[in-house]
Amino acid sequence: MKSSKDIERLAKNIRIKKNAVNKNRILAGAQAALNELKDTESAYSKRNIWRIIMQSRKIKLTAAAIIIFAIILGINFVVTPIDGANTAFAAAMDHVKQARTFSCIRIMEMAYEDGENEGKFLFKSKRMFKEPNLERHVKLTSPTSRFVGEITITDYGKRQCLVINPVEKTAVLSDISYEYNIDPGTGRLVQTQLYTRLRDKLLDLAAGAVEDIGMVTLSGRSVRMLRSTKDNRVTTVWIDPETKLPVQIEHTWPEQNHPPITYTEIKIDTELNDSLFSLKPPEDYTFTEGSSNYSDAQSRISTKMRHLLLNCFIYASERNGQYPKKLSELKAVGITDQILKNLLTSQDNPNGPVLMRYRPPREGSDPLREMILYQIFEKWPADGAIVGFADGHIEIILDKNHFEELIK
Amino acid sequence: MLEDRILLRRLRAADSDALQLIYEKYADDLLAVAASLLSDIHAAEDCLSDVFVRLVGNAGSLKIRFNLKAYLMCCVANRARDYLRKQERKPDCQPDTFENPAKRDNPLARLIEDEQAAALLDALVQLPYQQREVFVLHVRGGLNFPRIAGLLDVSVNTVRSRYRYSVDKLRSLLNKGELL
Repeated sequence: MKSSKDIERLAKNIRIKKNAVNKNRILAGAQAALNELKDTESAYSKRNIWRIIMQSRKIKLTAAAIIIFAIILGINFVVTPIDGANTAFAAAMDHVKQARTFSCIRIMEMAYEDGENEGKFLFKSKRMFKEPNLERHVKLTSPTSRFVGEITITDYGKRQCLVINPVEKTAVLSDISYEYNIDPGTGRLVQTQLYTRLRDKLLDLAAGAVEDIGMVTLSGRSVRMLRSTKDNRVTTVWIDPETKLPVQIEHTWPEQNHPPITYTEIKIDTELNDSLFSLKPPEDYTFTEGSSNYSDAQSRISTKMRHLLLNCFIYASERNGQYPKKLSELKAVGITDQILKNLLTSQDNPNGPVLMRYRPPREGSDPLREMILYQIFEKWPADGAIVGFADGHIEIILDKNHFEELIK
Repeated sequence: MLEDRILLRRLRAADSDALQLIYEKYADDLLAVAASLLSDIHAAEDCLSDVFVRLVGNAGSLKIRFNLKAYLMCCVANRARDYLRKQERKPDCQPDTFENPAKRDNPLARLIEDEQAAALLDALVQLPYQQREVFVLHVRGGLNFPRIAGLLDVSVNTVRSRYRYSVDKLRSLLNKGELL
């Protein structure tokens, strides 16, 4: 008697005999199309480096976060302080500092590719966290309709992340045990943790001088508007006069071609129910458990490599695209010798051998394919070698011959 | 998933090795699905050929969110349906071709490595195409019901029903022993 399971097992065993398949016939058309593609100049090579680094959604967000972070950390106010405004501004930021819960809507224009189109889009996302470990992001808009409403819930205590897609009715739970960040002050690896930098970044603004614009109307309510300026960046804060809490913050770069970033509907220390951060998938959703793409060792080295790549990118973006000749030149963007040493060596053996090597990109090379950082190894690693490219992305090269081609 | 993204990135850069690697990685599954749907090895090869040409053509703009295999499976399913529709329009085509494109004496079964799997393939031919499509895409193609529902533009419940009917009928056919 055949059961459903037997039938499914049989179906999984349907395999066409290899000698019956004409591989060349199947791939002939695709190979011809590929040859045509080779003759066409790669669209990527025409893009500027900012656009190139935006190819990967994950890289894009990481890059954006780090670069924006760097920009904001570079605050050095030159405007003469105005006492009253300064006090109000600092008080507003102090409330942010004390937040145990935080939620807001972030609005920023970013370059995107969705498989069919590319361009600029106004991304809106609701971001909230509850200390010490809970985080929830909701995509309110997306140029790709199937991602609208996608929810990402992360519990850093349990080291798990749930992605719920209401359009596709899927829920994927992933283990994030092997996800790391770099402590920018030391260059040492730390496990990813609750992202509170938005709050911390805003805090830094409190130290600056501000201009009191006066009372204005925002979404039908009367609020106090304060502004600070540093170089080409203008930060505007709208404060509720009763609670003294910021309700909206906007960064603009009037002199530069950089889109504004707005944080609105800011709510601090409001009740955020634990159910908002539940890792239980919704009923009637297709649930799967994902696994990490990297081993722990690969995750560690790729995190370090990515940090170096992004700092190379920041270095180059400030110098008309010129990458450093040596990694030691990254001092100019805050990578001290000690940080560099920590980034280049194993955390367990900081006085041991360096794990990766840098070479500056060659003149006129395609950043997409120009390897500038690569893992050092004595024997070819069975799970592949990790390499970093000039456009900021990282790959695991499984084929030794391909690696040797890249390193030529 | 990560490797797929890398392969796709390399394919965008017109890397022939990436094409070969994608083929080696997924051809077995894709061919099994195409052959199960079309019951004809040559038609299945044509179907795959079209899918890979399309993959190269779209590589520049394609962004795989979940996995490349699912994307390719959907392409195979679409191409198989197109192929059968074209067959149906041919004047010398039998009226039941779309529902049952293969003959009972299925030569494809001889190309299947596992005898019982070959018997199942024979049984599959006797299913209405819509049920066969859902069964094959789910079990052999690895697509979940919501994805199949999206692909076929029907509700998830409809997909579930088709799947249940297909399994019931296959069980009945195989348990009769006629095909074993």
